[in-house]
Amino acid sequence: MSSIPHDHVAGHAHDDHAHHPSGIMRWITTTNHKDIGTLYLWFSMIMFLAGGVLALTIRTELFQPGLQIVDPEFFNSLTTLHGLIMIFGAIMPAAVGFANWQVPLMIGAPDMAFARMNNWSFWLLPFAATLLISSFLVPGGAAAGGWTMYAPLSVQAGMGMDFTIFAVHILGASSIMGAINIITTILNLRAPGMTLMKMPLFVWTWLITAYLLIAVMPVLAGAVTLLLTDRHFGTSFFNAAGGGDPVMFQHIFWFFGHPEVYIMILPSFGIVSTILPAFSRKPLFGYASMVYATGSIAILSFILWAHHMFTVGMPAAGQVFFMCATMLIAVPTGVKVFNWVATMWKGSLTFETPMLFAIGFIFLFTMGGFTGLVLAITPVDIQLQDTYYVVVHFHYVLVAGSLFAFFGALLALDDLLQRDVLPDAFSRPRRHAAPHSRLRDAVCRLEHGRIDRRVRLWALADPLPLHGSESDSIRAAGACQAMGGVGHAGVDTALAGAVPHLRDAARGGLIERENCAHE
Amino acid sequence: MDRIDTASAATEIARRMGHAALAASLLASSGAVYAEREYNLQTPVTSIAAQIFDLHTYIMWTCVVIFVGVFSVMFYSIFAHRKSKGHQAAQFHENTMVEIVWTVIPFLILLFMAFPATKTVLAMKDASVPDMTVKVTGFQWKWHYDYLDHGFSYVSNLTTPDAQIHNREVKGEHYLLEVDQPMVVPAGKKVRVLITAGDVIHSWWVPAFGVKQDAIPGFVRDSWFTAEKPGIYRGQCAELCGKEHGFMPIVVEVKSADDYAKWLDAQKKKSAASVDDPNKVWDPNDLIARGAKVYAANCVACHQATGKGVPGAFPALDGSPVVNGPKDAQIKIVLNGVVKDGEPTAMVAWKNTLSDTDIAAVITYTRNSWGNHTNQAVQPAEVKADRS
Repeated sequence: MSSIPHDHVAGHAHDDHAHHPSGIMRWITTTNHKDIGTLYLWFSMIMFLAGGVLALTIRTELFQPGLQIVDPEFFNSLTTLHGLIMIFGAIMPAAVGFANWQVPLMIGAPDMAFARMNNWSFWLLPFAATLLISSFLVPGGAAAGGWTMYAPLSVQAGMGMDFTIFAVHILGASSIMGAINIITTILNLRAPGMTLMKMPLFVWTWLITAYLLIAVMPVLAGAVTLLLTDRHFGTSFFNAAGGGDPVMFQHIFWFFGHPEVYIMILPSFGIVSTILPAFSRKPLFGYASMVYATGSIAILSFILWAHHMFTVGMPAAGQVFFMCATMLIAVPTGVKVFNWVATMWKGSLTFETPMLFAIGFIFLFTMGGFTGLVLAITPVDIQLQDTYYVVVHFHYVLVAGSLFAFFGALLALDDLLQRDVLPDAFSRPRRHAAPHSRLRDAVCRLEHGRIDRRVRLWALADPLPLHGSESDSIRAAGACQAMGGVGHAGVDTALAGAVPHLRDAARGGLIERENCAHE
Repeated sequence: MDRIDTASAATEIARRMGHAALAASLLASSGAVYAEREYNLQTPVTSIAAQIFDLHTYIMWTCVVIFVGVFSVMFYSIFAHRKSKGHQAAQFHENTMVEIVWTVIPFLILLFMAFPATKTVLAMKDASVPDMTVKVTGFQWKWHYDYLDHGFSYVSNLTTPDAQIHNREVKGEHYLLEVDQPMVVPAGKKVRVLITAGDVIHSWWVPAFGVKQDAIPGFVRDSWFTAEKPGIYRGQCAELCGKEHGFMPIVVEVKSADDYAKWLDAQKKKSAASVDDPNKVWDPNDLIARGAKVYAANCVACHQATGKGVPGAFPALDGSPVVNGPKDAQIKIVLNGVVKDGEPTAMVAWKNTLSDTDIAAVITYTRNSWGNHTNQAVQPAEVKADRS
């Protein structure tokens, strides 16, 4: 037991002698998951503003009928780029940013599994974004065929489309690398004792999201590559005159596109499932069913893509199948909403800003769910497809859904930073996870995994023993102490009893996989 | 934007707000008022559209019930289970029975939605035994109606004046929803529409009929409707198809059987009369006058009314070496389109769309308009000779 602080000091002494780039090089060369998470969040913020400017221009033009400030072609570019920027530039990177920040902390990993690849997958993004946005400046303007890039309209388009295609390639590569990193981290770097069914729900949703990303981003890359060869190399994948089929593009695109929708919302489910219990002072209701619901949503998301294509024309059997598969999604999604409501039920609620965002999320996301149910009904969809109804539906899901959750998470995260509960990436550049000096590395690692459901746990006395007896020794030390408040002695005792092997892991290297006989 | 428009926009907003208030009060008392409600689907005039309307109403009310159920629970706990009221948190975190119940019940609700929806899907798909067939082809940016049973066809173009679009005039009642020649069908007859496209994907949508079918280049899809009531029904292209996507409305005029027969007769005579003799020698001024119309209907979207094109996208005709050069080269470009690197460009081949006379007229027009003064006329026979 007494060797824990000793090793800790030795570890840091070594660390402090290493070279740490400063200034801009610190951010360019960083492999610290929190630094990279911060970069992702800043990038996402900038892109959010960029996409927002496009949206404002769209709304200004639409303020009254007739042409006011932009031409129709430029208007189409605005809607197209608004979609691409918000999806690939704002929502997805924000989710990866939160994953970078929280996943290693929540599962007790020293850093992401591939720290350097993590750096690379972030630094691809600014280049892709530059490519995408600079397409406004090329002859013919930016892509104007909608974010779905349907052929043959996109085959007809100017050079801006090629910029978009390459930007999508780069963004896809970045997402795939990020996803591989997250999966590897979650599956291999969990602290001993952190079994899959003990993982915080945010980690679960990201694990599933990452699998979806790996499954579908290559499909999108394939679709836009076929588009590229149709445009420049004389192929006819999407040209009926050459034996191709324009509808095939839509099938390939939506096979990516529908899971993509869940890629954007699942991390938010995880965030809300983290915020709600914290401010309800009550364990998350139905943890296991939440995990199963997330899994079912992910699996179902692969077999309902053609509900985006009901008006394209398909056999009645196809329409009925895709209608039913789509309606089935409502079951696990409903389970989630019910679980959230049940989590609040008989809690002890307070309404700090993250909680307000979480409640807003549930309320408005459910609106998105209801409109989704209406759209699932094939005959009704025939009327509503390609109208503002669909636009409203997915903005309920993406703005009031994903974005609200991210705002909530950001505020909760910021709150923890302000209170010195979480280690601060800004003040402590490190090559590896840099827990706050007042925390034992091992405590920090263990803590976030064990008592994840309490975002502001240090202020709350004794919440959430969801994982049963295993957390008792930690709780005996007091949540306040465990999160680095005051008085470490109790924590040391508790730790030594609970997880003696963490001593080695505290060095910041990979955690040895032990068979956890002591548990 | 001028002052009149601001005023009319304000009136419009006031009118809509009035509608909404009226509708809200109506909604409270009755669910069966269709007409003129701008917040719901259009008043159906076919059985399919009526089924869709009812399905939507049914599902929406189901959602409202679920919504009220779920959120009254949530708002009750927001109200009653607050820390500020001193409520102590319970510590329960699962209940298998409850979880099974709230998985099974939604499933059953969905079954009750899926059955009527499936019936409607099957009805929509049954395009068999039509009374008549019309082929609809979407082009950038107009619709082409081909009456296959009677052998005539025509193009339907937007008629909303440019001045209205650019806010120089007050907008008409059917702003952007008016065309020169609507599709005309008889009431009470089953009309099968074969839908395809000539360039990119469009979508033929008439909300009152409950028909929306994408028009896919190279493939023919079908749909059908039986309009119960004579009238004029308006829709829009519903699939983003480029720059003028918002300017290619669909207007269908449903006539009584007698009126339809008269219209059909007139249309047949007109189409017989309009077949031009390609060997006729025209007066250049007549050619220019006709060419101006052809240009306005087919060329103006890209090359612009000024003949200046759009720099970087569509070349100018005004001062163009092709238009001011040998006639033959220009005829061939208009006939066959421009192919660059083996790929067709936005300059499509017009040989199947326009007659020899139309092509001769439009070429003559371009050669004698704006800054072009070739003083040359192209006769239909020259075009005919260049068709290969």
